[in-house]
This record gives sequence, structure tokens and C-alpha cells, in this order.
Amino acid sequence: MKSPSRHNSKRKPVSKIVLITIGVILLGLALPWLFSSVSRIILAPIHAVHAWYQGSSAAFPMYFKERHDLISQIETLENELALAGVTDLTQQRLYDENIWLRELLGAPSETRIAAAVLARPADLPYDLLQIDRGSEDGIVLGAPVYIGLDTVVGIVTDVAPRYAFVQLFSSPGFNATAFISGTNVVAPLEGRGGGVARVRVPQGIPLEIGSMVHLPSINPGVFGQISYIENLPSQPEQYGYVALPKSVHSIHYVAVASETISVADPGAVDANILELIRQQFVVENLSFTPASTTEALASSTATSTAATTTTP
Amino acid sequence: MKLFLSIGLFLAIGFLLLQNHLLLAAVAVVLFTMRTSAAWLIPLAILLDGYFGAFSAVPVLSLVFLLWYIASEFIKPRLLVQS
Repeated sequence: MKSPSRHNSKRKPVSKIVLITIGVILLGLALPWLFSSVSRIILAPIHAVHAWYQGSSAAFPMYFKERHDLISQIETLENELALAGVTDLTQQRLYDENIWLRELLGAPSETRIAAAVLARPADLPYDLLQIDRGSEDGIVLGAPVYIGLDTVVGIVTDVAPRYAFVQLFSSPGFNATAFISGTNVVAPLEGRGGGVARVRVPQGIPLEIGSMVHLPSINPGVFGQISYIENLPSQPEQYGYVALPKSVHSIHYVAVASETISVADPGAVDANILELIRQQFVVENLSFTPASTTEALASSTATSTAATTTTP
Repeated sequence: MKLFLSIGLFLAIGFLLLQNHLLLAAVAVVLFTMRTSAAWLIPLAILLDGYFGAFSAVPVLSLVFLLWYIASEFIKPRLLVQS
């Protein structure tokens, strides 16, 4: 008598389950609305737990949610850090190139005087800073005042022997002509008080948040970045508000230029460039020695030519 | 105890698939298959496909679990040590 093997007895339920499943799937494809309704009813408890997990502020779901958020935040910050590293390198390269070009053009290097801030707008009536250096330390009237390398914040308006007052560009009533990079327009800048100034441009010029605002009369003279744009279509002008990169209340040290603002003379710059170009055509310290009799004629010709060339 | 563990794993698989934690769900599915049978997961997959409205297109989860069931039935006898 033939008895069914163990292997065959296992195969039968598998094929039966597979066939039933395929049948159910085909039925589901034929009647999807029925399956959706039935599933919704049966999975209601799991759905309730799911909704609780998603919306609850209890400790258990918050632990997993916060962990997930923190992991994604860490990833974002790591990406930003990598990007910032590359940007730093670019900035350093541009900075070095800038210094090299300035040296090539004969721009004078300036010295600065470090000064501590004794009083600031909270204590003084207007957007003023009082610094602990005065005329005895070399502070002169009209010298630009910097925070950082090239961020100019104000100008020395009063000098005493041992202290001086700096008027910030954000002080009310202060007016200057600013250059807005990105948009590449020149616009009037006016102080609004409280460490805020604004540039005024006509409608239609695309102002952008983050555009740098330069003061061309001061070199280097970045004042800040546009942090807010007020643009009413009914008004003929739009305003870009510029805040200092550092809060006025957190400025403890400033660097004061040792000289007053010097406006670059375009004629002098052109003359300097022309002189440098001329120097490229002159080869200095040339010397010729007679080599042989066959070259005597050539050398005498070269000597006479050199004498003619070097003679002004 | 084994029954409670299996029920817990079964519910956990449903919850993890709802939460889209696919990696954890895969681990739970393997554990559940080792303890009991993957056949029990097919109704769950059909329910989840119905819940997500997958029968309007392709019920991927049901098909995946069906294939997993077939694969596990072939793999399990080879993994178990015969006494």
C-alpha cells in the first residue's frame, strides 16, 4: 500500500494557501471598495494607535519622534558644515587674491587701532558708541570704525585725548550713498536708529534678502546685508532694511582706522596701472659679453641696440 | 507564552508597516516566520493593502507576503535541524 510521504503532505496546504490568496487578491482587484471598507473597520484599533503615535505628546512617541527629528537635523547640519568648509576655502582664496591684486595696484595697507566700547546706545542718547581710545592713541576725526575685517559700522565724530565717540551709520538722520551687490544698484542709505538703516530703491528693481550693502566711500566698506524688504505696490519706492551683522549691544571691541576716509582718485588708479604695464615692457640689468670673433658684429649690434633701448 | 509573543509580533508588524518602518517590519516578519508561519501574515497584508487602497492598482504588500510565504516554506525545512 502506498502511503503519502511527509514531503507531499506539506506541499498540499502550501499550494492551497497560495491558490486561496491569489483568489482573494483577484477578488480585491475586482472589488477594491469592498476591501477598503472591510480593512478600515478591521484595522480601526491599529489606526487608533497609529493616530495616537503621530499626534500624541506623551513620552513614548515623543522619544522616537524627537530622536528621528534629531537624526535628520544632524544630517542637515553635517551637510551644511561640509558646504561651509568649501565656502571658507573659497572665501580664503578670494581674500588672498584680493590682497594680491591690491598690492599689485599699489593700494596702501592701513593700520587699525583696537578700542574697547565704554558706552553704547542703551546708555547714550543716540546710535553712538563711546570708545576708550582718543587722540593720544592716534584716533582722528572721521576715521571709519570696523567690527571684524571689513564690516564698517560708523565713523569717529568726536575725539577727546583719551576717548572718542563713534556715530553709527544706523543713527537717525545719517545719509550715505550705498552700493547694493547682487542687484548692482547705487541707492541712498538712511539711518533709522536702533542699529537699523535702510536703502531706498524704486519699484521694479529686484531687491533680495541677503544682498550686501557696501559704502563705496570707505574701503573696505561692507555695512551689512538686507534682512527685510518692505515693498508696497501702491508706493513708488521700496525699502531694504539693513541690520548690523552683530547687535549693537553685543559690540565690545571695535577697530578704528588710523586715517580718515580717503576717497580713491580714479585718475591716480589709472596712472598706477599704466606705470605697472610700462614696467612689464622693460627688462632691467641686462649685460652682454663678447663671445667670439664671428659674433663680434652681432654683439656690437646688440650692444648698440641695448644702449639705444636703455637710453631715455 | 509563545502564543502571546506571536500575537505581539503580529500586531507589531501591522503597526510598523503602518508607520512605514520597513526595516524593523522586515526583522519582525523574519522572527514571526521563524516562530510560526508566514501564512498568517498574508491576511494582514491583504488588510493593509485594502487600508491603503492598493487594490485600485497593484496590491504590492499582498504579493510580497505571498512570495515570502512560498520562499519561507521552501527555506524553513532546510534550516531546521532534524532530531
